[in-house]
This record gives sequence, C-alpha cells and structure tokens, in this order.
Amino acid sequence: MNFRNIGLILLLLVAGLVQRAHAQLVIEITSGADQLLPIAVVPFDDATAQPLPVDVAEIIENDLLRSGVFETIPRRNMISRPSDAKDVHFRDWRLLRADYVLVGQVLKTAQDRYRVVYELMNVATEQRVGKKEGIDVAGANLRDAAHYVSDKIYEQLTGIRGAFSTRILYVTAEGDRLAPTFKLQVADADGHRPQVVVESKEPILSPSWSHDGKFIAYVMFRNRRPNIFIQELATGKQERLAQFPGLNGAPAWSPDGKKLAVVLSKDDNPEIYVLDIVTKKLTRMTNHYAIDTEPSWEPDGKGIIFTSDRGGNPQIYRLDVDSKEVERVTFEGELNTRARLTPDGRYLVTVQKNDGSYHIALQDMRNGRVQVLTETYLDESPSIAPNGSMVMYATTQGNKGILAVVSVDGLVKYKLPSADGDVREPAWSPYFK
Amino acid sequence: MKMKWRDRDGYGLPVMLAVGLHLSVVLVGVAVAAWDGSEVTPPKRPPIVNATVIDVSQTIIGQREAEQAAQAAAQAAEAARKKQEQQRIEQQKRAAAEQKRQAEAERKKQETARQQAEAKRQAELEKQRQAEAQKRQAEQQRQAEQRKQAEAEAKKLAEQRRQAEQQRLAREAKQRQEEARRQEQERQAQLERERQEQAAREAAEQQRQAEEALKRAVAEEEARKQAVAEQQMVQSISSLINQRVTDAWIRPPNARNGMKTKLRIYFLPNGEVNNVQVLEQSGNGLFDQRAVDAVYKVGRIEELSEVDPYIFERNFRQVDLLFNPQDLRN
Repeated sequence: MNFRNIGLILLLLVAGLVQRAHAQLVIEITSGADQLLPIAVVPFDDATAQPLPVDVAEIIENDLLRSGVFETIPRRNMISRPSDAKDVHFRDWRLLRADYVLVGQVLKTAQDRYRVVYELMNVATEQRVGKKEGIDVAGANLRDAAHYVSDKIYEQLTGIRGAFSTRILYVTAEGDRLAPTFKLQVADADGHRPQVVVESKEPILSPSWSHDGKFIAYVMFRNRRPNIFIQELATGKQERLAQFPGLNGAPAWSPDGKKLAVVLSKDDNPEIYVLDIVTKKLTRMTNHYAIDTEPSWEPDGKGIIFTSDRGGNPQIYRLDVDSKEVERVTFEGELNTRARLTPDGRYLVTVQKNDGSYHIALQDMRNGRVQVLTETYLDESPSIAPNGSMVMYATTQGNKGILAVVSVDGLVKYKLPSADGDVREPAWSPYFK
Repeated sequence: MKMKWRDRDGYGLPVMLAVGLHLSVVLVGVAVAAWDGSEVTPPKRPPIVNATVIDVSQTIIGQREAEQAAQAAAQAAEAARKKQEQQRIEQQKRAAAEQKRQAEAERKKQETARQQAEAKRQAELEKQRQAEAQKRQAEQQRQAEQRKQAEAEAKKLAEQRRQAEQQRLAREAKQRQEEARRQEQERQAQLERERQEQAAREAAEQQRQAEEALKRAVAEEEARKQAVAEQQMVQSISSLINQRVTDAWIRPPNARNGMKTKLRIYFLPNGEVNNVQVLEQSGNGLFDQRAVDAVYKVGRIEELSEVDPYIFERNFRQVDLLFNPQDLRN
C-alpha cells in the first residue's frame, strides 16, 4: 500500500461533510438561532412643521416588540435616520446588526389629513421588501395607519397575518368595591384608545365577538338576573337575546355568525344550547346532570368545546354539533376551564389549575402535550389573537385585575397598560373584514 | 706533456695512437650506444658519458706516462751505475794483467799483447753482448710491461667502458624502469583518478538517486499531508460556515421541521459572499428568504481568505447549503 492509497483512504475518512470527494461541497444547516429578528424602525420624518398627534414609528416599534418575533434597534443607537429607501446606507444598519430597516414619512396632505408612506428594506440583500405604500388617514386615525404598517411588516417578515389592527373587549369594574360601576370597553389591541360600549351598575360578563367583528355578545345583569345581549358596535344597537329563567351565560358566536352557543339552566342544571340569532330557535346540545358551561366553537363550526365537571372535576370536552356526542379533551391538571382553540385548531388554551394555582395552559391537539404558559396569579379568561400567535388573559396584580398577554410559545409576556379599576374578561377581536 | 712524452720515449706515439684508437672506439661505441639508446631514451639527454670517459682516460694515461718516465730514468741510472762498476772492475783486472804481462812481458809480449787485445776485444764484445742482452731484456721487459700496461689499460678501459656501459645501461635501465615506473605510476594514478572519478560519479549518482528518492518520499508525504490538511481545512471551514450561518439564521415563525431550502453560495477568494442562488425552494418563500438573508448576513468568511487558493477553488468557490431544520417545535 503506497502513500497515495493511504492518503485516499484518509481523505475519504475525513471527508465527513463532503459527501463526494472533490464534488460540490454541501453543508447542511439543521438548526437556527432562537433569536428575535432585529429590525430598525427609523422615526418617520414628518414634513409638517407642527408636531403630529402620535409618533407613528414608535407605535409600529411597540407593536413589533410586543409580537415576540422582533427586537428593535434603539433610536439612540441609530447612526443615520433616513426616511427614504434611497438614503439608507446599509453599512450603518449592518453595523447595528439590523436585519431589516423600516423607513417612512408622514406627510400632511390637507387639514387633518395625513399620508403615511413606508418602505421596508432588507439589509442582507439591500432590497426593498414588498412595495412602497402610502396610507391616507385623518389625524385621529394615525394610530390605525401605524397598526396597519405593523401588520404589513409582520406579515412580510413572519408569513403570519398581523393582528395589530385588531381590538379587544374587556370589562372593568370601577369605583366602590361594594357597588362598582361595570363597563364593557373596546380598545386597540395594544390597549390604547379604549371606548366604553356599555356601562352598568350590575355585572357585565363574557363579552364575545362575532366573527366579522361587527357585533359583540355579552351577559349583562338586569335586575340581578343575567341576560344575553348582542350589540352592533358601529351603531351601538343592542338586542336582548336570552332571558330564560335561571342562568343565561357565556354566549359564543358561531363561525358563520348565525348562531350563538349559550349556557342555560332553564332545564334544571346548566347545559349547552345553540340559539339561532335570526329565528331565535333554541337547540339543546348537552344533557347531563353535571354542569356544562363555557362553550366555544371550533374554527370549522363542527364542534363545540366546553367545560364540564361530569368527570368529577371541571375538564374540557368536545361536543360534536351534529351527533351531539361528547368526548373528553383535557386530562392534565387538577382542572381545566374556559377553553379556546387557536384559529388553526391546533392548540387548545385553557385555564389550568395545578397545585392550587391557576395558569394559562396550552395543549397541542395533535399529541396532547401540555405547556403551562404563564406564571402570573389567578389567571383567567384566555382569548386568542386571530392570528393564533398571542393569548390575552386576565390576571391579578396587587389585588387588582389586569390584562396580560403571552405568546403561544410562552416566550413573550407583557401586561397591558393598566386601566382604572379591575379589568376582567378580555376578548380578542377577529380580523376586521 | 705529450710532446715531452714523445721526445723522451720512442713509444709515446704508438701508445698515444693506441690510446687514441681505443678512445675513438669507445667514443664511437658510446656514440653508437648513445644513438642507439636515443631510440628508447629521449634525445635531449646530454652526452655526459663521453666527456666523462675522455677526461678519466686522459687523467689515467697522464699518470701512467709520468710513472713510465720515472721508471725509465731509474733504469738508465741503474745501467750507468752498473757500467761504472764494471769499468772499475775492468780497470782492476787490467792493472793485474799488466803486472802479469810485465812479468812475462818478454816472453809473451806479442802473445800477451795479442791475447790482451783479444781479451780486450772479447771483453768488449762480451760487454757489448751483455749490454745488448741487457738492453734487449730491458726492451723486452719494457715492451712486455708496455704490452701488459696497454693490455691492462685496454682491459681497464674495457672494464671502464663495460662499467660505463653497464652504468649507462643500468642508468638507462633505471631510467627506463623509472620511466616505466613513472608511466606505471602515471597510469596507476590515471587509473586511480579514473577509478576515483568513477567512484565519485557513482557516489554522486547514488546520492542523487537517494536524494531523488527522499525528495519523492517527501513529496509523497507532503502530498498526503496536504490531502489530509486539505480535508481538515475543508472540514474546519465547513464547520465554520455552518456555525456562522446557523447563528445568523433567524427562521420565520411559520418555519416547520422538514422544510428544505438549498442555496448555492458563490464565494470570492477573500471570503466574501459574492452571490447566493436558491437551488431548491422549500415552498415557503419566507423560509427561503431567511436562508438567503442568513448567508448575506454572514457576508464574509474571513478565514477563507487564508485558505490555499487551490483548496479554495476546489472546495469553496461555490458551496451548497441545505437548510433543513430539525429543532423546531412545530
């Protein structure tokens, strides 16, 4: 055996990564950086001399930060502040390790009319992502324009539709603890611009969105008796749908927007019913001596998941709408309540009790694996963003109810700006059509 | 001296002639021998032998002549002395005879006178005869001696010549021997030189071959090492690229395990990413884009600039990256 042969053998031995000697070198990358995507949101240049009502870039930056997908380059670190793609020196942004740069302008086009123009640049390829786009808005809607831009960027960079333009419903209890004032409020998903939808001295519970986002349903007590209302947001037009004897609660809009799943105890103990909104026809879905409550539709409308203690303690069950067959869904935890499915039906979010603590848990419907997402105190009422990325829930901080958000991967957690009083029962809106 | 020699002695000339003859024989012999030898010996050799022979001969001959003259003088003196002695004895005899004749004077006056005359004549004759005999004997003796001398001389000359010849021959033999030895030595030296040169050439050739073999072995070892080093380099740079791209790869939230995107990266020799091309799409545009972004974000693998250009060209001019996540939750 001569050197050449030995050499060849060694060469083949050490080839390892090289699958064919001296052929095309192929390197396989099987893992990536578990890190946030760095983006620089450069302050939008406003051509107007007068200060704008809002800092559009800041709203966008906060949206992106809260999404749990991005990290942003602090403004103070920015070497240059271009407002146009042609002024972007990619070297500056490479130095700051920004993968993407968002530049834009707010132009005043008329009295209280603005045009927000933005461009997203890929620092790696030095190419613009998507097109240069302009949004014309009134001054009061600059926030909407900012959320719109956030949605676009999020979708372009994650492949997932952004949910920054969505809204949330929640109930606050203000004033005297013994005789509080209850308010059903609607706000931007980031908690800004809250508006009171309904105000009452009696409790308001279980707000819910119609799937087109135009209507809401909720439980409001009247004369100490719960009633189910639906209301058109745009007009404020309210309609009482259910005032059966006993409990009337937990309305949930069907995906087709025609029905409500409700809980009624008119027939002895709480059962799940489906109420046709137009015909008012009521269909009983469950029949069990145990409590069945908190219904929520599957995205395709074929099933309803609900909470039942028919197994001894509260767990989540699935009801087949056609056959009315029921099967148990959750098995982990001392109890599971208030279940919601992600829009893709993949994950089930519940309030799970473990060792006396209530936390938000995520169960993979494919393999039943459960992950507890939160560490806050007395977590309740989870509601999932329409893009399935975040879960908003109510929790307690310093004897006060607040809203918090956790990403479905459990990595991003933040609390919404605290409103006055206790905040309960958030409901994340669908996409507005 | 010759003149003297010739004047004093009548044999001078013949001797000289004899000597001259011998000399000329010797000379001719020497010359012939010398000329004969010239065929063997180099002609430049000076005729030292001839001159030496002449000088020696002359010296020896001169000595002989002086001795011969001294001997002749001694002989003559001896003859004169003897004559005087005889004359003195004669006078004494004549005085006694006178007395006797005077005594018988009368009687035998005539007789006596005649006898006396006769005796005297007889004595004279005798004396003459004796002188003659002596002279003859001396002559014979001298001639014999001369002959003897000449013979001796000739013998000596011959001996000398023989010796000279022998010496010459010996010298010549010696010269020839020396020449032969010298030539032999030269030949041997030449042979030795050639042998040494040959040995040196062979040694050089052997060394060259050994060096060649060593060089070859070193080159092969070097090539082997290079091959190993290249593979190690390729592996190490590949790991580096993998690590850097992995670190830069921020996957979109909708990425799923099993998605596959294959890129081809074109590197410049300084390690810069020159171009990225999507070879195989995952079906998720954002997933593909992030893979491309990751490569551009890495931007440059500085270590590539230190890679041997040959290795670079063979392995890193273009590199395929397969993005195939295995670690995602979904």
